[in-house]
Amino acid sequence: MAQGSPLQGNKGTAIGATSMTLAFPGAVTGTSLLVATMQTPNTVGGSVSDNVNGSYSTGINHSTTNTADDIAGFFKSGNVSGTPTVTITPGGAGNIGATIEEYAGPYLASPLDQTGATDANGTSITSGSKTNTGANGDLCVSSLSTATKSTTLSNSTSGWTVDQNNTPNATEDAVVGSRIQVPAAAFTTTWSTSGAAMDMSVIVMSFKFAPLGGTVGAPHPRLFRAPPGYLALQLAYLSAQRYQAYAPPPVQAAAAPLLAVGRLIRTVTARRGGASVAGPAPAAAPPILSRERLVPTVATPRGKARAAPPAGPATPPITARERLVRLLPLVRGRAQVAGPGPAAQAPTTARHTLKRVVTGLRGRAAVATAPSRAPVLGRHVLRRVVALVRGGRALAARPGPAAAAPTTARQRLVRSAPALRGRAQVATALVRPPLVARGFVRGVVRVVRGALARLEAFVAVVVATPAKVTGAVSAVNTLVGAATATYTVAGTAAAAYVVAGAASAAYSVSGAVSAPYTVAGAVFPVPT
Amino acid sequence: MSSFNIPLTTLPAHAVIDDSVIAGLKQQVATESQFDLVVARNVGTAPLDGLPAGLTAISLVAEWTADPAGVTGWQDGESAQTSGGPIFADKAQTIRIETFEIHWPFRDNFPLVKWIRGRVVVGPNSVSVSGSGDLI
Repeated sequence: MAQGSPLQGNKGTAIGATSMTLAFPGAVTGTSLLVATMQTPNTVGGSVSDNVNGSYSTGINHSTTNTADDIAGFFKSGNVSGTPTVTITPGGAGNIGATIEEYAGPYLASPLDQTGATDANGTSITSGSKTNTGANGDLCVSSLSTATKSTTLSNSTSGWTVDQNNTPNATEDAVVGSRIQVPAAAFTTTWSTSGAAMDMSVIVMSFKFAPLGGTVGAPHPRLFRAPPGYLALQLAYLSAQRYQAYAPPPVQAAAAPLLAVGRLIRTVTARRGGASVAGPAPAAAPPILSRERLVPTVATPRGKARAAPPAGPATPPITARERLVRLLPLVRGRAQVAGPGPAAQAPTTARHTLKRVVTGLRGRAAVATAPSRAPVLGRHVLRRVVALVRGGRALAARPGPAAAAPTTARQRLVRSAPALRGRAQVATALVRPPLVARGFVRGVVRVVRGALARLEAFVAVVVATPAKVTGAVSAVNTLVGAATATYTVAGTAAAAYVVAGAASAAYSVSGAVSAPYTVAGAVFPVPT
Repeated sequence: MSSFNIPLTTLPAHAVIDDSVIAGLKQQVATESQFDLVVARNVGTAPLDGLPAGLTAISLVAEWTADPAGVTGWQDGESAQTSGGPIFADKAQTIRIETFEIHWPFRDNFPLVKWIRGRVVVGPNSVSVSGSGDLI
C-alpha cells in the first residue's frame, strides 16, 4: 500500500473498566506506524502498550476544557512486529472508547511532527491550523470526543478519510481519521455530529514520512518496469506518492557489468517510455595500459617515430672550455691554446702582429717573433711601398744577415743628434732585416697610392729611410716635416734646398749644386 | 441475533466462566457484527464495588476464529479489566456505573470471523457475578 495508507485496525468500548485491549486482526508490517486513540473521562496519566512491541509514545494527551471527555493519541513506530494486542489504560476507571490503526510506512525514526487540540461547542468542530515539516510529506491523524453519546460522527474534510468509526455508541463514541499530505503543508480537519449542538474536543497529530527504499505491492499500471537499482527506487517512490502499488523488481541474477554507455542508453530508453533493452554483455577485453593508449595518440599527430641514428665512431670529446678557449684568443688577442694533435707550435700572438704594424707606423723596431728571424722595421716596409707608388724600383729585400741587434731608441737619437748639431753622423750599420708581413705591406701601398704628393712629403718626413730627390730641380724644394734620414739630391740642383722641421740625418748632394741648402733654419755650406 | 444469560453466582478466586459453563458464550457468526458481554457490579454476597480498588477483580474477554468449525485458531478480539470499588461515568464522579461491559463491533475489521466466544475470568478475590451476552 501507499505510504500512509490505513492497513488494519480495531475499535471497541468498555464500561466501568480500568483498562481495555484491542487486538490487530493480523500481523503488522515492520515499517508501519501503529496509532491508538482513547476517549475517556480522564486521560491524565493514561498509557498504551501492546504485548509484542511494548509501550507506545504519547502523541497528544488532552484534558478538555468543556464537558466532552478527555481525548489522547499514542503511537508506535520503528520495526514493529507480530499480531499485537494493544492495552489502553486511562487515567482512571470509567468508560473507554478506543481505536487502533496501522498506517503504512516508512517513517522517520522520530516521526511525530505536529500536534494540536481544540475544544468547541456545536454540531461540528474544526481543528486549529498546523503546518507540517516532513521533507518527504506527512501522515495527519485526528480523533474526536463528545459530551453527548450515541450520535453519528463524520468527517468530510477534503483529503481526509475516517478509518475507524464506532458511532453511534451508547457508551463512548470513538472515531479516528487520517490524511496523506505530500508535500508537507498546513492542514486542518472538521468533524461533525448528527446530534444537537454539544461540547466536543478534537485532536490532531502528524507523522513525517521517511524516504522510500525498496518497493512493495503491485505494478503501477502507468509505469513500466524499470531496471533495478536507483531508477527503480525512484519510480517506486513516485508510484507510492500516486497511491499506486508498485511491484518490486524481480531479483536478477548477477549480470555482467555494463559500461556507462550501456546504462545511459537504458536510462534514456526507460525515460522515454520504451522497453529497456538489455545491453549485450561486453566481452572481457584485455586491459589497456594508460601508457599504451597514450603512445598511439602521441604517435599519430607527430607522425612516424624517428629512426634511431646510426651509431657513429667514437670521437674524443671536446670540452666546452676548449672550444671557448680557442675562440677567445681570436677575439681578445690572447694566446691561443694549442689543440691536441699536431706538435705544439710556438705561440704567435695577435698582439705581436699588431705591434709590428704599430711599430712600422711609428718607426719603431718590430719585435722579433721567431728567434731565428731578424726584426723587420716597419719603416723599411713602408719605404718599399713608397718606391712602388712612385714607380721606382723597390728596394730588393736583401737576405738579412744574421740576427742583428735591434736598434734602440737611444741609438736613433744618437744618430739624429749629430745631424742636428753638425756632428759627424755616427755610422750605423743599417740592418736590413728580411721582409716580413708582405701581405700587410701591400695593403698599406694601396692605401697611400691615392695621395702621391702628400705621401712623398709624408714619407720624406716620417720615414726614417733615406729619401732621394731626382730629376731637374729648378726651384726650391721644401722638405716639410721631420727629416731624420739621409737625403740624396741627385742631378742638377740649381736651387737651394730647404729642409724644414728637424733634419737629423745626413744629407748628400751630388752633381752640381749652385746654391746652399738650408736645414731647419741652419744653413749649411755647399757640401763638397 | 443470539442472547444468553449469566446467572448470579459467587465465583471463587481465579474462576473462569466460559462456553463450557455457559454455552451461549460461544456463538457462530453469520451476519452479526457486534459481540457484547455484561456483568453486574453490585450483586451477590461479594459484589465488585465491595472489593479492593487497586486489584483487577474481573476480566471480560471476547475472542474470534476464522475456523468454520469453531475449534481452532482462536485469537484476541477485545477484552476489558475492572477493579473493585465504585466507578463513575463522569469527571465529577456523580454518575456511578452499575455494570462492567465490553462492546466489540468486529465486522468492519474482522471480515473472516466465523465464531465468537466470550469468557469471564475472576481475579484473586472471590466475587459474585451475574450478567448476559449478545451477538448482534
